[in-house]
Amino acid sequence: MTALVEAQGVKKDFIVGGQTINVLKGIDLKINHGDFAVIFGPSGCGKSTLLHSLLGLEAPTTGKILIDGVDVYAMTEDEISIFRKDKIGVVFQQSIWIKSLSVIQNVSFPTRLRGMSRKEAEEIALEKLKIVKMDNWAHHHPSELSSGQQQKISLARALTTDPLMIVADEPTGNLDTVSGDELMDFLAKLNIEQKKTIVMVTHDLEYLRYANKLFHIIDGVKAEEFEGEAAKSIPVSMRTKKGERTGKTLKDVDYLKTDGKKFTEDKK
Amino acid sequence: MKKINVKRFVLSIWLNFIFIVLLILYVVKMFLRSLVNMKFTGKIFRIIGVAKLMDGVEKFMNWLDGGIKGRMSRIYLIELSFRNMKAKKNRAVVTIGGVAVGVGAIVFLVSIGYGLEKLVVSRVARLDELKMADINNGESLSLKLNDGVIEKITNTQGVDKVLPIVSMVSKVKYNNSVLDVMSFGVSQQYMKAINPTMLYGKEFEDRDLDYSFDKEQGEVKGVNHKEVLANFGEKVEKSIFNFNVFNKEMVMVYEEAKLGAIPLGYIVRDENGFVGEEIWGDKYFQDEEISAKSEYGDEEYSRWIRAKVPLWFIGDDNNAVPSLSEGGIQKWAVGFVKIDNTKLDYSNKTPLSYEGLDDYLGVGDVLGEATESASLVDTSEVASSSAVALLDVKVATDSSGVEWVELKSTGNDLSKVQQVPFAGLPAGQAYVTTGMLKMLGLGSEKAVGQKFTVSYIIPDSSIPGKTGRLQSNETEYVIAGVIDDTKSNAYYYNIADAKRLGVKNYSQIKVITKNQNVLPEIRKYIANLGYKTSSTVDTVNEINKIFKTLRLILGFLGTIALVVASLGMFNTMTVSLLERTREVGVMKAIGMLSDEVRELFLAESMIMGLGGGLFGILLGYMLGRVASLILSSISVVKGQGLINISYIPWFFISLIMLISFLVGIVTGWYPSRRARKISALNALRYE
Repeated sequence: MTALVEAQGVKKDFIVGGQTINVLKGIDLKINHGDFAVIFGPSGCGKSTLLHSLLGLEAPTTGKILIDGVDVYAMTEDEISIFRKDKIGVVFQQSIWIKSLSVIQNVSFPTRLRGMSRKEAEEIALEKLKIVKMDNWAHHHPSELSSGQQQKISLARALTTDPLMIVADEPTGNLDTVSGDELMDFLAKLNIEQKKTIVMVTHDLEYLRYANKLFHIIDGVKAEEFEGEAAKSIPVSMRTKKGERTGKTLKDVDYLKTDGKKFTEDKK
Repeated sequence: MKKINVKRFVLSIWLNFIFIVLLILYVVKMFLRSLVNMKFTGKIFRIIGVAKLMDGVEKFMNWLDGGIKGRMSRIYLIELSFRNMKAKKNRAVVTIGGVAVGVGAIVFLVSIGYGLEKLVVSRVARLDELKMADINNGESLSLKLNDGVIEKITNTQGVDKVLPIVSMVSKVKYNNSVLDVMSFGVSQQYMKAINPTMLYGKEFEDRDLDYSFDKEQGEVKGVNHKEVLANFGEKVEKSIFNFNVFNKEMVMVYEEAKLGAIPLGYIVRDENGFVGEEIWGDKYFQDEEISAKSEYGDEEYSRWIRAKVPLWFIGDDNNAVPSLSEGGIQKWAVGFVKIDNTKLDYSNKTPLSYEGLDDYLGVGDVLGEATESASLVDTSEVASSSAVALLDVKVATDSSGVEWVELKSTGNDLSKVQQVPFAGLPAGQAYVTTGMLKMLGLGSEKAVGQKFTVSYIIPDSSIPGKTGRLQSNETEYVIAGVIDDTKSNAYYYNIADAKRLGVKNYSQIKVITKNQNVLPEIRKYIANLGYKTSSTVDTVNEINKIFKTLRLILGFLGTIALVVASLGMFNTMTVSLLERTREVGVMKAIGMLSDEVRELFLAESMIMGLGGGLFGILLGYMLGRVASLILSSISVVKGQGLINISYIPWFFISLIMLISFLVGIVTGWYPSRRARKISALNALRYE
C-alpha cells in the first residue's frame, strides 16, 4: 500500500540577511491512509516549515513531497491550489474568518470555491456543523463565538470538501484544556469512525496520546518516530535543543513543559 | 523570451469581459430586488413583473457564469465583494462618496458648459433657423437670384421651401416728413420662417403671390411666364462687362451672331480680360434662363457676347498662335462668341456704365446693328481705347491731404432718375417695425390703419434690361401690422408689389431644408452654383467652438477633483488589502486561486468606481438643477423667465460611466495585483 503522504529527503534552506539557515535537513516520513500523525518538537525545530511543505505552500529546496502519489511541487501554483482545495482540509492555530460572512457562509466557502451552488453548499455546511455540534450557531458571526467554538467551526470548514486528510497546525494552541480536549476528541472520532487521515503539529504532549504515528523533529532532523501503541504511551529518551542526551520521558522534557504551559499547570 | 499564448490571452480578455458584464448585471439585479422588496411599492413592482425580470437576469447571469467546472462561480465572487463592502459600510460609503464628489464636479461643471451653450444658442437661433440658409449672389454680378434659381433649388432633394426676399430702400413720406427706411418684399411663408412678434394688426397674408411681370414695357403676361421678348441682334442689357477665357481654353470667335457664321479665329486667356456686351443671336442651345423669343414667338434667340478681341489660331502642335497681320501685329476684330460657362470666365464680370460696346469703343451708336461692326477687322491698332477718355476726370485733395481721383461718367441719362411705374395696383400693405414707428412718431397701438406714401429706390440689377437710377412711382401704403423690433427701421410688404415694378432678381433667397442635417449638403450644392450662403448655423458653430474650449477647461477642473478622489480610493483599497492579508491567506490556503483573489479586489474597486460614477452623475445633475433654480429665481423676478443652465447629453453620461469604471479598474489594479501575491502562509503565521 502506498503512503498517503510521503516526504523524501526534504531539505529547506532560508536565506536571511545573506546567511543560509538550514531549517529542514533532509526529512523522510510516510503517513498512511487512516493515520493520526503528530509532528512535534521544540520551537524552531522546523515542524511548521515541514507542515507548510506538506500543504504545498513551501517548496522544499531539495527533496520531494508526494501526496496521494502526486509529486506536489511538480505542479504549478494554481494546480497546487486546486489540489489542496480538493484533497486537504486545514485547521489553523488561530481561526481566521472572512469577516463579512456568517458561520455557515464561512463553512460553505470551500465548497463554493469548487463551484457548488449556495443551497447545496449550505446543506453540507450544516451537516458538518452538526458533526462538531455547532449547528445552532450557524447564523451567528464567527467573531461572536469563543475560540473553542471557532476552532470547532474551523474543523467543520475543513471537513466540507470531504478531504483525504486534515492538516491541523497546533489546533489547540489557543484553547483552554476543556475546549482543546473536545476538539481533539472530534479529531480522534473522525480518525476512528470515518478513517480520516489526520496530520497535526502540536506542542502539547498531552495530545500525543491520540496519535498512532509520532514524528519528533529536532533541529530540522527527524529525531525519532514511533508507530502504533508505542506512540501512545512509551516515554522516550530525547535529545535537548543543545544536543545532550537525557534519559527523561516525554513528560519530563523541560521545553515541552514551558511551551505547553497549560499542560504543566493543569495536569500536575 | 517569454512566449505569449495567444489563445490564453484572448480567453482571459473574454473572461474579463464576461466578468464586467456579470458585475453590471449583478448591480441591476440588486436594484430590481430592492424595488421588489420595498415596503409599500414592492407589490406594484411585483405585479408589473419586475420579479420575473429579476429571475430572467439571474438565469442569464447563471448562463453567462457557466464557465469552468469545479471553479469558483464568478457571481459568488461578486457577491463576496459586495459583502466585504457591506462589512465596512462607512468606509465604502466614504470612498464611493469621494468618487461621487469628483465625478459630480465634472458632471456639474461640464453640464453647465453644455447648458450655457444651449442657452446662448437658443438666444441666438430658434431651432428651425438651423434648417435655414440665406442665399446671396456674392460678388458675382452675372449670377442672378431669379425664379429660375428658385426652381432649381426647390427641386433639390431635402429642400422644403425656397423663399425670395426683395430688399430696397424706400422713401417714406408721412406727415410732411421724409424718411429712408429699409423695406422687405416677402411672402407669408417667409414671414413664418423669420417669425417676428406681431404686436398689433392681422397676420401677414399673401397677395398676388404668383404675379409675374414680363417685358420691359410693363406688359403683364400670364402667371409664371418667363419668356423674354427680343429681336435678333438686340442687346440683352444696356451695359458692358469684363470677361475672360479660362486658362488653356480656346473659344471660337464668329463674324456674326449666327450659326454657320464665318469664324474669325480663337481667343485665349488674356491678362487684362476682354470687354463685351450681350446680344441676342441665333439659338444654339436650349436654356430657358438665357433665351428669348421674337414678338410673335416664331423665333428663339440665345445670348452671344460681342467684343473686340485679339485673334489666335491653332498651330501645328495644338498651341495657340497669334494671327498676325501683314505688318506683324496681332489681328484684332469685333466678333461674336457663344456663351460657354465651361470656357468663359465671368468671375470678374463687373458691368461698366456704357450704353454698349460701341459706346465704349467710341465707334458710335450702332445699337442693334451689330452685324455691321462685326466685319470690321482692325489690323492696325491694338485696341486699348482708354476708358478714361470717355470719363470726366476730376482730381481732388481731401481734407487729410490724400489725393483721389473721381471718375465721373459722361453717360448723360445715367445720373438722371428714371421713374418706374407699378404695373397694376400694388397691395400697399405694410407691416412696420416699432423702430420705424418711433421714427415716424407713431404710437404702436394707433399705428394700424395709418397711411404713408412710399417710393422705392430700385437697384438696377434687380430689373433685367434696366440701368441707371431707378425709382418707383409714389404709392400709398396702409399699416396692416406692427412688428416688435425696436432695433430696425423697416417694414415688410407683399413681394408682389416689387414684382409689379419689374423686379425679377431678388436680393436674397431663403432656403428651408426638411431637416438640419441636410443643410450643409444643400449649401454646398448652392455654393457650387456660384452663390454664397449664410446661415445662423455658422454663428451657432462658432459658439459651439467657444463652448467646446470652455467645456474642456471645466472638465479639466473637474478631473482634478476626480483624481484626488481616485487617490483616496486607491488608498482605501490598499488599506483594505493590508487589513485583510490574513483573510486572503486563509482563502488561498483553503484553495482560492490567485486570479480569483485578484478579481475579488478588482470587483470591489470596480463596484466603488461604478457606484461613484452613478451617484456622481446624480449629484452633478442635482447641483445643476439647484444652480438653475437659483438663477431662475433671480431671472423670474427680473421678468426673464426660467433659465436652465445645466444640460447633460446622453453620450456624456455614458462617457462618465465609462470613466468612473476605468477609475475603478485603475485604482484597483495595484492593490489587486498585490492581493494576488499574498501567500497562503500568512494565514498560518501568527503574532
